[in-house]
Amino acid sequence: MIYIIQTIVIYSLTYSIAVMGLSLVVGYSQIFVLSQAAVFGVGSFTYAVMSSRNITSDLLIVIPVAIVIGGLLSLVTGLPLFRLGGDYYIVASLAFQYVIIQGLVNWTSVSGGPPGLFGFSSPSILGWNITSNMDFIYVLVPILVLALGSLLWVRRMPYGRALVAMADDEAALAAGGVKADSLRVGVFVLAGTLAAVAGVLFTSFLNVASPGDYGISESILMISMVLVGGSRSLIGPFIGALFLSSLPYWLNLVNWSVYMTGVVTGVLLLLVAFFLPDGVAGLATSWVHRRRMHEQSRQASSVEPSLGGQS
Amino acid sequence: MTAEKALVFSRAGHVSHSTGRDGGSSRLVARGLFKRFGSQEVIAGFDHDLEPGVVTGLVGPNGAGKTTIFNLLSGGLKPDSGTVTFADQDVTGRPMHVVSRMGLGRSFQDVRVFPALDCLDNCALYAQTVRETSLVRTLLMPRSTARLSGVSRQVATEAVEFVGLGSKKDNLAGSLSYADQKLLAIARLLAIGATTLLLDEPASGLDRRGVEKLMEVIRRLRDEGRTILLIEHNLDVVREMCQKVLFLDRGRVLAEGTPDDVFARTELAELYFGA
Repeated sequence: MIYIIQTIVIYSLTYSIAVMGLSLVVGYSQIFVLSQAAVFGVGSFTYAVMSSRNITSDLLIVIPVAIVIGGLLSLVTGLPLFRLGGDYYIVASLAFQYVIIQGLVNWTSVSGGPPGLFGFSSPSILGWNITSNMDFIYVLVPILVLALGSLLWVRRMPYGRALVAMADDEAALAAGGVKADSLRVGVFVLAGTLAAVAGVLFTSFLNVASPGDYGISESILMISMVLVGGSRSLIGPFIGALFLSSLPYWLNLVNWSVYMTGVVTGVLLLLVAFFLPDGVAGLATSWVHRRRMHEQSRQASSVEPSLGGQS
Repeated sequence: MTAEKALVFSRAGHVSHSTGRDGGSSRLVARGLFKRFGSQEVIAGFDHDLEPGVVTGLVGPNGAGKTTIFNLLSGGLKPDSGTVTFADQDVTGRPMHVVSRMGLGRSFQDVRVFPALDCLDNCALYAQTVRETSLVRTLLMPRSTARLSGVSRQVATEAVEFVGLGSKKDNLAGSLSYADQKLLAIARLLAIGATTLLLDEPASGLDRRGVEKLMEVIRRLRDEGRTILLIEHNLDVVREMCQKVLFLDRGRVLAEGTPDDVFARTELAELYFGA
C-alpha cells in the first residue's frame, strides 16, 4: 500500500514538472502543443543514453545536459510560432511529435530502436545512490520547488506582466513596445526544458526508456493534465498531474480495465471544456477575481457617481 | 509637472529623445503615402510634416481613412508607396513594437487597456525595457531584473498620476469606468516615453465631465511640448485643442489650416455632415 502511494506521488510530481510550463503556454499564448511528450522523451533518452554508456548517472550532470538539449529542441520546434498562430501550430507540433519520436525509433545505435534502452545503473547525486522510492521523492521535491519558484518569479516580473497582457490584446501589447512572438517562443522553450528535466527523472526512476512511451497519446495526456487542472494557474498542473497520472490505479481500485484510462480522460476533457474552461484550479481563482472586480467597481461608483459610462 | 519630472518618462533604455520644446529630433514626416485594400484606394497620397509641439486634428467623415493613416504612421501597416520618417529615421512599415519604443505612441479607438492588469501594471508594461522583458535575464539575473522593474513601476506611477488616476492605481483596468480607461490609455503612452502621441478618438463616448478631464490632460501634454495628432469627431474638442486641422476625405487631405478656417468652408461641412 505504502509502495503504491509512493509511486503515485512520484508520478504526480514528475508529471507536474513536465506540464508546469505547458500550462503557461496554453494559458497565455493560447496555443495547444501536441509535442510535449516528445521533449519529455528526449529528456528520458538523455539519461538513458548517458547512463547505459556509463558516461555518468549523476543527476547534477545529466539534468543540465537535458536542459540544454531540451531547450535547443524546443527553440527549433518553437520557431514556427513566429509564423504560425494559434490553431495552425497544433498541426506543426503534431508533426514535430512524430518526427522526433520516429527519429528516435530509427536511430537505433543511440535509442536501441523500438524496445529502447533498459537496465542501466541507478541515478546518483555526488556519489549518493538514489535507490528507494523515498530517495526519489527527496530528489523530486526540491526540483519541483525550484521549478515552481522560477515560474512564480517569471510571472511576477515584467515578463509575466507581458504574458497576461498578451493573452488579452496583442496589438495593444505591440503598441507598448513588446513583441508577442518572442514572448510565445520564450514560454514555449521554458516549458520544453522543464519537460526534459522531468524526462530525466522519469527514466531514472523507471530504469527503462522506450520511444513508444512518448507517443502522441502521451502528449494528449499531458495537455489533458493542463486543461483538467487549469491553465494559467500553477496549481492546476498539480491537480491534473495528480489525478490523471494515477488514473490507472483508481480505475484498478474499482475493477475497471486500465484500457478505460483513455475513455475516462476523454470524458473528463469534455466536461472541463463545457463546464470549467479554466480547469479545476480556475474555479477558485475566478471566484477571487470576480470578487476583486466587483469590490473595485463598487468602490469606483461610490466615489465618483457622475463618472459612470460603460465599464 | 516640471521639466525634470517630464524627463522621467523617457528614461534611459527607451530611446530618449527630448521630451522637449525643441522637438526637432522627433519629427514625424509622411511623404506620398498610398494604401489600397483590394480595389479600394484608402489613402491616396498623404503628405504631412507633423509640427512639433503642436496639437493637430485629423477630421473627416467616417471611412475617410483616418485610422488607416494612424496605422501607417505608427507601424505595422506597410504603405503601397511612400515613406514615414520619425526622428530622422525611416520607419515605413516597421513593426509597431519598434516604432513605439522610438517615442511614437498611439492609442486605439476602442481603448484596449488590459482588463486583467491594474492601472499601474498597464503603464508599467508600456514602461518596461526590452532588457527586463527578456526571459533569460529574468531567470539568470533576477536582481537586476527586479531593480529595472522597480524603475518602470516608478515611471508608471508618474504616468498614472499625471492623468489623475493616482488613487485608482491598484484597481484592475477592467473595473474602471470608460472615461478612466481612456485616460489610462493616454497614461500608457506617457509611460513608454512617447514624444509624439497619435490619439484615436480620445473623446468619443465620454460625457461632458469626461471630455473636460481629457482636454485638461491634452492641454498639459501640449504645454510640455509633446506633439499630438488627434482623430476626433467632437468638433468642440478639435476647436479647443488643435492649433491646426487636416480635413481628410476618401484618403485625401482636402483642406489644412486653423480650425476656424477649415470649419468655415461650407463645402467641407457638407461633406462632413452629409448635408
